[in-house]
Amino acid sequence: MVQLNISLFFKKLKYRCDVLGGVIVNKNKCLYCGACVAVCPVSAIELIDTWIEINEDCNDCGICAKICPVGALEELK
Amino acid sequence: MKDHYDVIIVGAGPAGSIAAKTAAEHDLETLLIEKRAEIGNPVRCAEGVGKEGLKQFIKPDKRWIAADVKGARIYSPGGIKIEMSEFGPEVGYVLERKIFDRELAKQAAKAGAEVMVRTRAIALIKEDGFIRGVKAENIGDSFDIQADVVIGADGVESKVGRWAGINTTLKPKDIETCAQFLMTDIDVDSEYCEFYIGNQIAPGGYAWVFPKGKKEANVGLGISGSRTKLHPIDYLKRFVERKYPEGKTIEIIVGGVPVTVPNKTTTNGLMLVGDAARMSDSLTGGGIIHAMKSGKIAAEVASIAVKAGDPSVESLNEYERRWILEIGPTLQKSYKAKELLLKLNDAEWDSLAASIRGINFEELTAFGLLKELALRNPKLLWGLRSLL
Repeated sequence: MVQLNISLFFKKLKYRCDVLGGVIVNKNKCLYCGACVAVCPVSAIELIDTWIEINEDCNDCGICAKICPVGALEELK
Repeated sequence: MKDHYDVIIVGAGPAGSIAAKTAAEHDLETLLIEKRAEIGNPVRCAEGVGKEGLKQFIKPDKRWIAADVKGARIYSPGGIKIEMSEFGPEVGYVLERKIFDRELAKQAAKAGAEVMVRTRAIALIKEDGFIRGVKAENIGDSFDIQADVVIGADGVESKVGRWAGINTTLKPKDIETCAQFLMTDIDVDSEYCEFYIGNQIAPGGYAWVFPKGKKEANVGLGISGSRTKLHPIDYLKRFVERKYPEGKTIEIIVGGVPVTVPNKTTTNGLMLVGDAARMSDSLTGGGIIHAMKSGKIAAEVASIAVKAGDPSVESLNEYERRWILEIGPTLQKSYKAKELLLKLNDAEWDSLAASIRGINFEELTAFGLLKELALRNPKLLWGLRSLL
């Protein structure tokens, strides 16, 4: 758990992005198109104006990361 | 803003605005909400549209027409060119969606609909198994708005359907993930839309060049969500480096296009329209006309339901019956064709293209092209025989 948090912390620093659920959103890449929202099987993602939010329902399936047109989503593995 | 409306429409794209306009014209108390601060932006669209379909809804206006297109050129992976031109329903416009979408919203407002921007639906109000309105958020304030009927026009990222218990989740193979550059200072033929097919260029999709005037074009591509070895933006950079190395990009657009057939589109007190209902065409990816058609039908059905005091699913199923009658067969055929074409390799595409080199098309549509292909390549396109 501690290790995971440390790794999260560094990823956060590295990408200057939010850590949400099991997926990292790189805000520098995201163009808020909503494609990820459409494919999320547990409806954990929401597009709010110009950013996306991922809630705790995320089950780390990784489909959103594969679909993203610009690679703004990254699975935490 | 009132506490109660006859109909609330979530999303001010072409589907939502046409629904709002139609509802207001039928004397319904209508509210159109849009989560963005600005209607029409970002566009998330290649902006091509058929003239015939468009004219059913709005008089063409040069303020939102970027190019008048006379035909299409399709290039196979090996570079064989198929040209389709002159008269036919596929001939169309390349729009300026930012202005077009705004114009449709203005027409809805002029017809009497209320419009609220920067207003996001955050949940549906449910009572006794009926959808009775939306919970919305506007610049930090949240509030409930009641309605007899809610129309979900909230696009590819639709939540309204899911909140109402309709599963609109797309499988990776049923979404095209797309990237587009609006490029300027490039040489384009302003009268032709170009399509490039090939698994190296855009696996499970195609690349497009849609002119927006003499020196400008939407240059983009979509790939199947089941074939994302690279991200669309990477394929696009590669395509553009080769095709327009000197071009300048003045806008980047990305997005997902549903390439499936609609699931359920109605429930008690609710209808889904346009991309939210997954009505974009699986073969071409085009969605504007289907969006506007479904928006209009939904509003007409809402009008009957509201006036009869019966917004039950049985009553709203008239909407489903009518859109299936109008666009159902096309959606089904396009989906079948997409499923089959996804399997073709580049050599097969080249042999298909070679088989129709230099012929005259009777019907200048995607289906017209498919028919010719299927007639000349019965073995390879055996699965398409039912579409003839």
